[in-house]
Amino acid sequence: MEEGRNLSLDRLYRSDHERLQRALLAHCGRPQIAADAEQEAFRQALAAKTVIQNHRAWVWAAAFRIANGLLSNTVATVEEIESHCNDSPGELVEFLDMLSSLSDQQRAIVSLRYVGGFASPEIADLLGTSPGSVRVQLHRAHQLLKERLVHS
Amino acid sequence: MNEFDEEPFDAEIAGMFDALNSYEAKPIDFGSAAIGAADVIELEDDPAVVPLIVSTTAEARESERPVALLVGAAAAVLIAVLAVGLWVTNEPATLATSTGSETGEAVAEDSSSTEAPTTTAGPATTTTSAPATTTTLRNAAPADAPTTTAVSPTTIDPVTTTLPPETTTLPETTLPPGTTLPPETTVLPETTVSPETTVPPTTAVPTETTIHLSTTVPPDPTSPDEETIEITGVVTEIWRDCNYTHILNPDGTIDGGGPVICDGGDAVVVDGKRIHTSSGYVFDGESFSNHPPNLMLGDVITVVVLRDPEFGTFSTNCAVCG
Repeated sequence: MEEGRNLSLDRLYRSDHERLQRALLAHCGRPQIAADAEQEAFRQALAAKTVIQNHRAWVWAAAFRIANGLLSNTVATVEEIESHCNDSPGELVEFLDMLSSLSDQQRAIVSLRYVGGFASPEIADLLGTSPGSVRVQLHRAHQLLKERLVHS
Repeated sequence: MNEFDEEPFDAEIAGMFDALNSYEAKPIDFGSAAIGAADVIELEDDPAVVPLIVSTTAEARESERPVALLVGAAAAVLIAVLAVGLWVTNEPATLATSTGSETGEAVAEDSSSTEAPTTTAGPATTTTSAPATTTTLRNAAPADAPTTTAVSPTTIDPVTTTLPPETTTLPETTLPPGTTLPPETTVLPETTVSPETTVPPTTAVPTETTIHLSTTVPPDPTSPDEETIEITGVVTEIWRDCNYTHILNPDGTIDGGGPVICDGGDAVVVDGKRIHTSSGYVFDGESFSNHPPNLMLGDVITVVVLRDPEFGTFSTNCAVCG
């Protein structure tokens, strides 16, 4: 996350846009919410650009918080995903449905870990929790996802 | 060291996330939605890349302000020369009419033609400076009035007094109807501040006042390796149906926060520090298992932790629930 401190917003957008929105999709399960949350995070970052110390951390944290505020606890339909998907929309919907079995925090953590590429201490900073808690939740998320994988 | 000291990564889980690769992220539609902040983002060094938002407002005016000032100053000098000339030729009144002297008309035309290019400097500068100039000339027209008063310092420098603050062109409500976010997003004012300052630090609870080492609890004489410590802290998280127990390494140091042995029950996270006098470690954000579900966030609890010499696990007893 250190490299994000001096990353300008336009560079950040180019480098993180795809990953951020996919991570948000994994977290909230809805393409529209993912896109709205990312857009709102960047919009607020633009407005507060001068006071933000670490643009990358700020935008990722803000986007996830906004997505939480918009979270509807429902999974996208195949039709909803199709417009955003190159191929296999059904597979993506199935995966999002699998993620929906996790708690909100677990989804956020696995999304930040496997899509965002953040380490546990960074995730802890982003979500306002401790690295130990992140590891615990990550471990439990792994177990739950593997259980779902076995039963699917 | 054990597996939990390492950064958790599961290749099988990572493979599951490959399903997201087929998802095409929707580009952010800044458009008019972010126009209020558009002037703070600009393309940096890659001319081949289209800028996210073209800067058209405050910064543009800022860069053109010197031009406007120069043009305004030149016009003011012309006016001053004209006024002096009129005073010398004693024909000031003719300037205010279309039938005035050729000199006066020529100067008036020159003045307007000089003002015209200033339209590139922004509408505010141009429209305000031109009328100010004309008014000054006509007020100076009466023959008995000292022409020196017409070229007052306040009329020479109209530009500096007419530039509006740039912030007036940056509306806050800029989300287009199609992308307007639900009102829920407005309940997150914290996101307008740096995350570093909004995330509640885990050290919010003064550890000096909430942690009480159980120095009065002596080690069990029948088992010299057993010892208990008492921890008081604020419940910051509650995980339902969580199976969780801490493990100590054989040397007495705490495992790196690892989730390990599942023994059932809920768990709570106490935002405090555990200070182990024997090994000297300090650790934040402790988690304890086997607490009843009636615990609430913010509750202050005291936990007595027993170190198991066999493997180093902690068993826990809560002072609230016994």
